[in-house]
Amino acid sequence: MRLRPSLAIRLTIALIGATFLATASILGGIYYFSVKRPMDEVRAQVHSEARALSALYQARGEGALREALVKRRRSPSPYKPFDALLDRRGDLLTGNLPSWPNVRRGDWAVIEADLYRDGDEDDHEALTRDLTLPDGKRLLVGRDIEILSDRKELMVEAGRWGALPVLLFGLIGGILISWITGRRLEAVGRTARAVMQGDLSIRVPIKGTGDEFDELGMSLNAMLDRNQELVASLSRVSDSIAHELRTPLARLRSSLEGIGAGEVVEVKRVEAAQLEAERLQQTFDALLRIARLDTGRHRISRDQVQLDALVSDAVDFYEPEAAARQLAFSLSVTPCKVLGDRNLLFQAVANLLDNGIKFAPEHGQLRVELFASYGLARIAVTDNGAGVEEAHHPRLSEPFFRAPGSEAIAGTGLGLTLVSAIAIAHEGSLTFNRTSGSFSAILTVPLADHSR
Amino acid sequence: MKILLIEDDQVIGNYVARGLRDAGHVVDICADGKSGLFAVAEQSHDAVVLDRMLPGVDGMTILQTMRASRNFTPVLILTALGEVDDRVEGLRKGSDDYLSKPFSLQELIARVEALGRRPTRPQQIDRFAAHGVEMDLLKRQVLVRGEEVRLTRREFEILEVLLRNRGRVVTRDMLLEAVWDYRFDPQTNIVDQHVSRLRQKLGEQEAAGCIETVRGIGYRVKD
Repeated sequence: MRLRPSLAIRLTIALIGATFLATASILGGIYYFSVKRPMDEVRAQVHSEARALSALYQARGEGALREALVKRRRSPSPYKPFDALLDRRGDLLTGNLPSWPNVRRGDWAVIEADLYRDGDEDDHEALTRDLTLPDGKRLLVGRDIEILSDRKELMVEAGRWGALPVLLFGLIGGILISWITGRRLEAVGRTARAVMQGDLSIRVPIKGTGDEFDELGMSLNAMLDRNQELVASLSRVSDSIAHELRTPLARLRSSLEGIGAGEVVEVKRVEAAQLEAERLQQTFDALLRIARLDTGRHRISRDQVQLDALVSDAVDFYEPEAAARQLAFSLSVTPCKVLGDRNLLFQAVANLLDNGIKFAPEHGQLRVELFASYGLARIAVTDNGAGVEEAHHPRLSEPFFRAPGSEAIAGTGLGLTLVSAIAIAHEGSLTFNRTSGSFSAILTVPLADHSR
Repeated sequence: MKILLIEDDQVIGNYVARGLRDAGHVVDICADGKSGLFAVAEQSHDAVVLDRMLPGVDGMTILQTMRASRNFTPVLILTALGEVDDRVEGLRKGSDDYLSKPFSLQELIARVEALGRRPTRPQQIDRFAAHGVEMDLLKRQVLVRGEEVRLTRREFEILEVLLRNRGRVVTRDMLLEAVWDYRFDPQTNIVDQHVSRLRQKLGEQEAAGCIETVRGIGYRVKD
């Protein structure tokens, strides 16, 4: 994805404009300080000198004026003084101006004051005040401003020639920026298109400069990582759903075919088919409930639930099952309340007990404990079975996950997934703990007093 | 019983109707909400089986209309959504029971029959007697041929529910809800184990005669 031409052009124009403005403001500053201000000073000086000389003439006559003019010519200054005193007819009485206009054309004039030195003409200009004295004589007082005029011309010239490189650099800069940003954006665009085409492992290249493009790239990559994870777990789940449903469907079908083929309808076959259908329904129900909890579509009720009574009820309910497996069943509870959905919480505890009973060895022990501390209610169901290796703990809540060695034990493979979903819906968690000779599943839910 | 079935799905409707008729009931079917609304207004049925999702007028609206016009015919709601929150909403709006699809026909029949037997005016029964088993609710005492049998609270409640519904099937789910008062899926046949314990306590002979197993559905105390 190259930058669209309009953006490249806009960037270039903006860059050229900015370069122009910067150059112009520098030139303007130089002009102000080296031409405009000195010129104003010269003008003010000439003005006051002319006024003083005119006053001197009126007060003390032509002799004094001539003396003053001579003295002035000798005073040192970067701006060489010029003057000319003319009689009524326009003849020169005294002065060092080489030439002047015949008729007065106003108070101020810029007059050519070329000097001849060793036969060479030296261009000079004088800023001159042109006065008519009361008796008709004409007095011109001025100063050389050639330096300032030169500077001004120089700057105009510099500005004229400078425009070209400014234009050039702006153009180059614009193209460079468009190219660099375009290239980085192109990389992002390429990644996006590759992902769209189904390659979820593609990532935005990171230059390692830590600039904004790198930051953008890293954010996008983090998003892509998360997406890939979610898609992977989703496809793992749908794979397992398909796999898990195939087996009971196949069994159901074979039962039904057996019924169709046989002359006598066997009650056993019908019952087997019913059982399979029931199991399928259980699996679907569990999947649906998990999905609804996971996506937050199932808004759980938030009632005060007396958790110790609930745990006791669950233990009481499962007691015959534990007795049938000859387990030593022990219960210890701390009275406490949580906010939540009592049916869901009961389901969660029931699933944990169901698991514990199934995984405890024959004649084994099953311990159910409810603690309340640090704002949390913790329900631990501990059996003295072999447990599950720590490495598999994070996967225990995944749908249809079966820890190695537990394949023979019946179940939908969704029990702990549902417990975990219920825990999360209650802002709690499901964790596991394995020590030598015991394995605990721990359901943690915030206590009511500490809940919002 | 005369039962009104409001269900838009023809296959399910016919299947349920046939099942109910086979069980000896009279069934009227309405295939949409509007005709359902008219049919309920007659108030000539003993129970209504109402699908929640209906074209035109929604099942919940029919139920609300019924209760608003002081029509207290018992209602069993069929819901495809099958989740606790939806069910609770249904119960709050005055339905008497609910069942989520897919359901077993026998479960539905058992529940509808249980609804029909619900007395309009709850009469205080405090004693049951059947097949040599006597139950006194006030003393919380159970006698088998005159001798007291010690039962746990749950066993006592199971027996009470079964005796209250004497002659009718009580499904496992119905027992679960009535005795443990939690709506959940036990995944195993633990209700059966509780019943078998109860039977053992009542004694071998009485167990055979008193609490009968209805295969695949639940239990019944013989008439």
